Amino acid sequence: MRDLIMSKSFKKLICVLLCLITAMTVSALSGKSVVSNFLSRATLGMQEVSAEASDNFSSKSYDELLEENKKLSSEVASLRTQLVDYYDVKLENARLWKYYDLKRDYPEYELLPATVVRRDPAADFYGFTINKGYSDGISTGDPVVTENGLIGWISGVDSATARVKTILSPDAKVSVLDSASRDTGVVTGSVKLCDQNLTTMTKISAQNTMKAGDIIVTTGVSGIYPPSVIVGEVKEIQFDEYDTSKYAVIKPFEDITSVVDVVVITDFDGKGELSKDSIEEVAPTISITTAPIDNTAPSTEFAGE
Amino acid sequence: MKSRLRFLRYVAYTAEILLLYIFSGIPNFMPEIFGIKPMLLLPVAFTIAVFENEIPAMVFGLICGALCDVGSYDKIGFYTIALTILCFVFGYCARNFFVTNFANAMAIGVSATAILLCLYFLFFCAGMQYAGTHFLKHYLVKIIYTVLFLPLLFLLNKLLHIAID
Repeated sequence: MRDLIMSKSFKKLICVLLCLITAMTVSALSGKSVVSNFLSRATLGMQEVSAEASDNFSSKSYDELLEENKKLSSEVASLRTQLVDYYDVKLENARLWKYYDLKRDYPEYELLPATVVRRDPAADFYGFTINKGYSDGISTGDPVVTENGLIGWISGVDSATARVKTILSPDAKVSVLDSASRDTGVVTGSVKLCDQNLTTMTKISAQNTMKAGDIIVTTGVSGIYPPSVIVGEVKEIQFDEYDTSKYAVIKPFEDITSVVDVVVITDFDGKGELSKDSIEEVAPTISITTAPIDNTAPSTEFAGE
Repeated sequence: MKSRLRFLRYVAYTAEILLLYIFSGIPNFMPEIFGIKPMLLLPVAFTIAVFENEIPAMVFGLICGALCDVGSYDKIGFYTIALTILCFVFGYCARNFFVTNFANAMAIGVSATAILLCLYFLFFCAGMQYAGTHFLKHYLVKIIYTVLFLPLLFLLNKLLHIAID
């Protein structure tokens, strides 16, 4: 042990650790990680190519693959006369239509389409990385949606990529209301349900009139998420076994566990502001912090929403 | 000649790490259990460490840790520091205290993977609701799934070590 501590190698280890801690402190204080930026830039191209290549990848049995092969062979014969890039064009067209639909539905939003390029093994609760970063106008806390509703929010951003946390994560705190019964609550992920692509709506009143099939939308009260973005539908109402309060199991309309194309809302009317209309609308049942919201500190905003 | 071969080996290790980093993150590529994928960079770092001296082991631990941290979102730094220290220690021990063989490498790899992921869970997830369920469903699965790749990566790195030495 004494030899180890006195060795040159150990001194080198200490130097490296000091450098690492300094670099991390600087990154944490500045909010932008040089290492993360470099790595995301360096690997983005490879990730995009590999993600594209894996779009049609799925685990199937040999028989299923054989059957699919036969079917595809006959299809290929009939498609030979068509353009080589037919599928690419079709896919791109579908993506653009989704984007167009969203843009038409929400003309007041600044939308930025993005593709999932990485689902990292170290990321819990189906978080993923998209191929757009702060050089494209994305900032931490921006909502991430698809044409089927809310997916999550930007939890970290580099120059070329951004990391997304989903509403399946227990870190999620989204102020929502039942569009039918007007009951309010907070959507937060559950460890027990996340693998089934389900999330929960907590903090609902004991006298709620919610029922299965109701559509849950965002309230937009704190200016983090725009109002009226669909989150999902009520699957069932349950009792929490720990505090006996009620919560609703919410099924998002999008399969968050395997989503590929998303749209980031980079700006919208009332972003970062407490909405007066929304406050009046939900005031009887929801408590809102009166502290001024700092747009640069999304983590505290989530806690307050 | 010796140093050139060593440099070649390091290049091969780096290529291996980068390839595994890319493959492990491709959506829908690796089979998932409860949405969990193996963290291939952990066994890679440990198996490289037992074949190398402490300084190269530390450097490869640092690279693997930094790549793990890029994907682990807001916990930047945990894997970088932990793998830098662990790989340094394993490199030092492999040179001075034990013979690098399959059994030793497996023992080190399994225990280090388990300890590292348990520490990560304790630091960042233990406070959440249903933490026990989260550990059993996700972290225990992640530990088991990750160590399944240890023998394969040990043999691969042993092959690299023998072939380019």
